[in-house]
Amino acid sequence: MDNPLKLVVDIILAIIIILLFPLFYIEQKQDVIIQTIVEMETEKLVQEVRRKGYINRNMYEDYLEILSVTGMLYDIELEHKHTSFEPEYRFRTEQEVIEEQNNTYKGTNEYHYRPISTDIPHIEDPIENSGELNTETNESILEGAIKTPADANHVHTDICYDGEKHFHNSSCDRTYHPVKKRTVKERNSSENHSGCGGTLHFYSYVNECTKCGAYFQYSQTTCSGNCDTFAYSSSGGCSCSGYYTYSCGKTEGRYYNGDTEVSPHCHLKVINITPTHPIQKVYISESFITTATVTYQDGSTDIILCNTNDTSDSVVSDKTVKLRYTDGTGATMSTSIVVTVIPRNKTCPNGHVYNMNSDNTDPGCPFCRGYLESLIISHPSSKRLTIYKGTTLQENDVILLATYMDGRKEYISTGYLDNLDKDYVGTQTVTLSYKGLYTTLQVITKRNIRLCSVCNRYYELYPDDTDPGCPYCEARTPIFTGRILEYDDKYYRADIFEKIYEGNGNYYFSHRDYLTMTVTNRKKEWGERYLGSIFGGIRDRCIHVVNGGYIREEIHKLR
Amino acid sequence: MKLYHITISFALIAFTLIIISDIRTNNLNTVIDNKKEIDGFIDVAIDDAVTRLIEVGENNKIHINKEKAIESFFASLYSSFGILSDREKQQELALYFPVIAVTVEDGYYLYYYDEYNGADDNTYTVRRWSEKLPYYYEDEYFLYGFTLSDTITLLDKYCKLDSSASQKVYQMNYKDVGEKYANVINSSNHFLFDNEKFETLRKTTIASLIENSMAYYISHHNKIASNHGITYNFNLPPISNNQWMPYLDDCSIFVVFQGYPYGNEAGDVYNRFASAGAKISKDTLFFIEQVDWYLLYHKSGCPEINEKNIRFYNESYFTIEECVKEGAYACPKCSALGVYAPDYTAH
Repeated sequence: MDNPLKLVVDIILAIIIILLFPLFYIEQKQDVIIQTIVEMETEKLVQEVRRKGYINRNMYEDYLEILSVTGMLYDIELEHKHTSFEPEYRFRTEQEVIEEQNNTYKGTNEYHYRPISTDIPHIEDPIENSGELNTETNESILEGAIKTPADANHVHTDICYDGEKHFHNSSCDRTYHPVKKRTVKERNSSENHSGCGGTLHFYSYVNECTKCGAYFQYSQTTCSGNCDTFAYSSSGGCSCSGYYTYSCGKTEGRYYNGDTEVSPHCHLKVINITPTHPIQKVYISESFITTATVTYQDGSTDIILCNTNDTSDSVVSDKTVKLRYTDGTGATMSTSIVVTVIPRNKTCPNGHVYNMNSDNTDPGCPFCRGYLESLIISHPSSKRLTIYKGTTLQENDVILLATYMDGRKEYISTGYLDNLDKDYVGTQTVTLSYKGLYTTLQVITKRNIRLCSVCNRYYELYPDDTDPGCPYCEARTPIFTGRILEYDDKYYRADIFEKIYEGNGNYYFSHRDYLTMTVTNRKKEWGERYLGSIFGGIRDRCIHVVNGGYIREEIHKLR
Repeated sequence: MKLYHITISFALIAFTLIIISDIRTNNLNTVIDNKKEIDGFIDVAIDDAVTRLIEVGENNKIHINKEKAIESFFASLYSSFGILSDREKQQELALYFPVIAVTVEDGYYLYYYDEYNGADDNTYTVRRWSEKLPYYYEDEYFLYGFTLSDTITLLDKYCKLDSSASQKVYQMNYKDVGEKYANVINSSNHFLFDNEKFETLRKTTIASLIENSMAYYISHHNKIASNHGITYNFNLPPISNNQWMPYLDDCSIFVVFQGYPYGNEAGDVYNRFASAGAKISKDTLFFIEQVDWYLLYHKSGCPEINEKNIRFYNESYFTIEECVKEGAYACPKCSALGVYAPDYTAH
């Protein structure tokens, strides 16, 4: 032996080259064959599953048997991809449901305007203002009284005297004065009578009296005065006479009442009395006009003031009132007037004229009591009210505050008129009216609500009070949005094995599912391992088969 | 001869052999991978096509939109191959699909290449649809028109069914025909009386008809393809029953993909006959029920439907998605995989 070391090296080299490398090489080749086999078998199985539409235990185990011929252990991974469709449901919000309900509402909701009006209360207090009131007073009349003078042609007659005319007669105390007749000197002479002061004119033929020697005449003459003395003679006689002077104290021709001389009272005696204002209308306690126009006997008139017993204390209508007047002669004349007494009226500060009471007290202006000065809304004070449809303002405690013209305030909760449109839902301006005044209120009408018995919440009805259904309960029902979700479900070997091993069932696929099989070997053969330790980069897995395809068949088996 | 000499020579020889075989296996692997890839592309494309095939029009009538289906098939294909933006490559690829068949209720359409002479004396190649070819079968007395379901159309050639000769064409369920005209049809083992026989005959008729038409058009395609530089000889591959049968109850698409070169060597081509059914499930209807505040959809076999006091909508729906669009959750009894309604009561 040359070199035992060389021998050893040789042997080692020989072993390596001749034994080991071929082994490695053969092993590699084996891998290729195995890969092919596994590929083929996997392909066969996949095609079969695709064709049949299911996989079961027998199919799978046959496959495994063939694989086991290769003598290697494999990790087999199955993946079944199934496309699922899911409809998308979603919950509507309550707003959406309410909107939907509103959109399907077919009714109308219109506002109808209704004009309203109330009248001012009718207060009757008739004022007598026919204008026939006395415009003058007694004083004024009297002031302006015009006395008309006596009738110019008035001749005193007997009636003008409250006595008798005195004629000297034998009963009067008289003294005779013979009157010597004067001598008529001439034909034209006249004679002055001192007694009567008259002038006696002589006319025509004058004779001389043989008795007294006076001249006398035949014709009559008249003394221009009033004495009774005249001389006349009838064919020759002289009637001498004297004259009497009477001392009865009375003068002839004058009127005497007894022994007193009376003057004519024709300017005093009233023969006619006419009231100046025969029809009068006076206020209470206002004095009548009691003047009257008197006509005296002498024709003169005057306006005098009469007396009356009646007063204007009470309201009367067309009452006859007696007026009496005692004239200068003491006689009382009466006349009457028709009087209407009306109550006094007063004008209140607001310009109303009303009658006073009978006793002249002020009852207060009835117009101011009855008429409103202002009308405002007391409740709600913000002039805005929110009510439910179908209710009235009265039910919602609307209170008006009425201020009368006399300052009185009254709270009104009923009795007013309003033009609330009860069928309208929304905002409206309502006019309220009471006793002729108007005010407005803004009213927001809400729809009526109803309690849902199921979910115990209130929901709104439609404006015409039909029931749309509780929207809260509606919103709990999901609706289909119209979209579908498409996603892939993946089932793996565990799911498949569960099916096919437990109960020996079939694992069914659906049409167009995708099946993928991945086969990898579990561990390397011994050779690979050594190689792997030398060359660190060799992968662990050297058999790797992936196969897949769409399932073409679907068996409709029910669960 | 030292040991290390042996080792070295061993290493050299082994190395060479290993490298060579390695290369070969790698090639094979690549080819297989490639094939698998293309398989995958076509699967995906045909699945996509089939989903677009059925449209629900107004009044819930089912309308077959084959143009959209083919459009989406090619779109999906081009995107998988990565040539969505490359027009030329797309046209090239399309040439490898000589024919595509779409089956509808009472017939089938073929999408094929055709040549015509244009006005300027050039030949143009265009892709077009054939007219609807019926599923017909003829025997001595009648001409039968099959459908994908149980209805058949009868043409009474010699007025055997109706002697007054007023009616020649009957359209009804085949079972009714069997019942009504049992006396007329004198042979007792006529296929109309036997469900199994009828099914078999229907399916084989349809399959063979489609195969024949496809074969015709595929061979027709050879000439066209050669004009575009494809030397492959197109022919219809033999198709196993497995590939036909599941799809003959429903509207489906059958695609022939041939001659696509993919391998290392010049002659390696990829061939595939792919099929897919639309699965519109005309018999799976969904009904919607109103429960409380939500809606529930039920499949047509659900036991809940028989309850008298549930409120139903009158419409029926074809897909779950439609039901969900109305706002329905899944019924826990009949829908295993579905979104159930949350547990909430409105009161």
